[in-house]
Amino acid sequence: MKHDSKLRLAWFSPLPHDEGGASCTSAYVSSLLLPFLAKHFALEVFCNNFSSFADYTTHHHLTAFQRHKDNPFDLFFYQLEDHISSRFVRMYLGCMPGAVLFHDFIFCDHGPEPMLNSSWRETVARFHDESHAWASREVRHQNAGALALREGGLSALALFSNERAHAEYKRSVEHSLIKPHNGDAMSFFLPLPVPESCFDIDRGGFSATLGYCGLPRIEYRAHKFFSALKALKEPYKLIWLIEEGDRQACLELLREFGISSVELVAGRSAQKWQEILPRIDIAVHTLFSVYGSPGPYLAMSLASGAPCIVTNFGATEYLPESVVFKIEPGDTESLQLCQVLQRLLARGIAWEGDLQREYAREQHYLPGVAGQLVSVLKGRAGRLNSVMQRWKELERDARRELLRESRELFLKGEPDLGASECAFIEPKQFWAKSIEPIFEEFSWKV
Amino acid sequence: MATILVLGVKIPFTLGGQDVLVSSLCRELRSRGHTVDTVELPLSLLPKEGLLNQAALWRTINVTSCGGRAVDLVIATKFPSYFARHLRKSVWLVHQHRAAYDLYGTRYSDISDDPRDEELRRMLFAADTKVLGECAFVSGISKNVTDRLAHYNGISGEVLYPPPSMGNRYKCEPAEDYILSVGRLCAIKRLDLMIKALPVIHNFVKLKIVGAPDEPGIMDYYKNEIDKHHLWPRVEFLERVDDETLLRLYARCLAVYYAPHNEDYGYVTLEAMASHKPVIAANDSGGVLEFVRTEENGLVVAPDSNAISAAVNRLVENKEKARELGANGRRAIDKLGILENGWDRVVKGLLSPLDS
Repeated sequence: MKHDSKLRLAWFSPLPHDEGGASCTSAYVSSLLLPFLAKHFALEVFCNNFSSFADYTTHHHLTAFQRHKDNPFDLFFYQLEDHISSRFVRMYLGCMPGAVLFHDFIFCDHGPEPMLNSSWRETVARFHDESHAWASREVRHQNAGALALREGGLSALALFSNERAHAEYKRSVEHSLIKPHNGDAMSFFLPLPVPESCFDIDRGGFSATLGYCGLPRIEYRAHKFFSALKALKEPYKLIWLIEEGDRQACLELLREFGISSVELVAGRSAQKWQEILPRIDIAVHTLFSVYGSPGPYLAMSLASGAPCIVTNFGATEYLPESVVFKIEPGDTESLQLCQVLQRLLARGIAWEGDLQREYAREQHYLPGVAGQLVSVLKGRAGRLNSVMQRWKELERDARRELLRESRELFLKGEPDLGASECAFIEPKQFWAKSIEPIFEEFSWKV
Repeated sequence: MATILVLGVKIPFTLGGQDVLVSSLCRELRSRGHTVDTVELPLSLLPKEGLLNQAALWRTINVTSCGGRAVDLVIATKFPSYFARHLRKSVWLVHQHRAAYDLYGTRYSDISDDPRDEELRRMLFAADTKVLGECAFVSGISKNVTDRLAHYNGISGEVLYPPPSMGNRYKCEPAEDYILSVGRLCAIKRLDLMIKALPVIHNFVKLKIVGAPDEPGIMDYYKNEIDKHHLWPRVEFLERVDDETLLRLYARCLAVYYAPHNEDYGYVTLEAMASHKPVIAANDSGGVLEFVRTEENGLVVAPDSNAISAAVNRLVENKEKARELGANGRRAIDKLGILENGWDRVVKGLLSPLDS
């Protein structure tokens, strides 16, 4: 059903006010994209708590099915990343398929037991073929593994904010609700949006200030970075954006490497990074891990025109050489970092940043990204709708099967009392006379 | 005086807060001159596809009269007892089937993303909302429970805290060097965090555990953890104890560890406070946090063993602080009047449909 001819869109995402939401990419993207989407869709936001978000109609995700029943949505949209705040999204996208924006496709969080024991492959098979059996209740379905195969398979439209995640999806997802149709792609790369104000940052001055927002963990290469700083001949200042809970660990790391010219800024979030950017001359976004990506921080640095140093691995491997300074991970990592920093600091003047800005404007410009998303959602609405219609049939089918299981369970193992002197009511009769009417009363029927 | 049936749900071979609540309520109603009895059906949570049948069975029960005696009022407590039919039905809600509600999507729920499970969840939601809506009086055992009712089922209810079962018998004695844990042994109570905290707690501190296991494999898990860190000299499983022993255990402990995940209410919290003992709880312990205030009458920490061990060590190293927190806890519940006249309020609310 439409509201004022706009498609009804159910938006599932961690939000800024959720626990951990401030540092979460999905919350950041929601803050930026929702105002644009609200112009094109009748939006309702679903999250994992009962508080409201800005002026949007906001509900707990568990009430979504009732709201859908009362006034059906045309589209369901999910944001997913390797963050505990996304767990409810991972769970729910298996209950009502829709478009999924993946910020990660490799998860170190395997999710709770219900996902580990998910029978999603059987569900997908039955979605395509009604004669395929329902998953056995007895069997444990082992799903442990880093790739989000379940989430990829259950996506009706898969979007990716980094190209590596998209590549992994294309390479590895075999069982899927969607099949290519008439050459129409059902998976897309959708870059992270960046606020327009990042592009307006003035790079006139130069204060030899380095900006870093990596966590004090080995994969963020802080130890390599600080090793490089120790060897630097040029003077510098460092601003390190950290999470307050990591302060002790950060201080220890700095002490270990004898780095003293540091300003620690707590409250790690995209918003905080944006506040720091005008003061930064060089941004360091090293990351050497199959998990994670630089998130919006790198995109914002590029938009601001800052020279950015990244590791040539994972999500940043796909970036053009002309736009970033790439460091090869390994034995010479610190040396490479030192050389790049030395070169940039020795210039003594602000980086022009035109290439970076141009790249960022092409990829990350907020109105552009929002426009792309609107276009994809509207353009694929028809196909998404047919997936949802088929899913609705599957739900009816599931209900039928559940009711059959309930009845069978009730009657299973009932001794044949017919010949017994003690028999006064036969189980099948009891079911028909007493239980079935209750099931009718509650509309527990297909 | 009225003829009242209290509708309880029995999970065979276990004993928990629900059982205490039903027996206490019956006792209090009888003491006020009412004719009271219980109707209890066993509940089996597995297999989950049988839950609809069990709810339906409750619905078939006609409790308008029993043995020729008219029943004036029924008081339902927990899923699926509130499915029973009666013209005058009060509910003092302990909880719905939480696996389909707030525990859904967590490791404590067995409801998966299988479409059959999703249908089950939706059917339970809709039916719960209908039958709870039939109640002439709706209440919950804590704000956590009434919030859940409001958020998920759109039904508002009054908070009626169950007073601790042993009334004014709780006492305080000089603290000995042990932490007390009371409750069913199951994953959601998170006793494992306390066991894992022990290795970094002063080694003269012991852990005494009252309660029986009601989840398969849970004792093996605890035993493995204890074996791993050679903790057997410091850990004592007491299983179920009589009232006098429990009172003594509360009275002499240094502190009570009670940090379950999103607890409905938590009798143990009130019992600890009534015994003048501080409670160590977690910041996601739900109903427990309606009473425990960190640094006032207990310590509320992150649900991890590092934070718990730090909290325990603080109390061990500063016994005066532990005493102060415990004394504040007792003052807090005295101020709430739960021990003195908590039951008057509960009974008044639950019996209010009789007035109309």
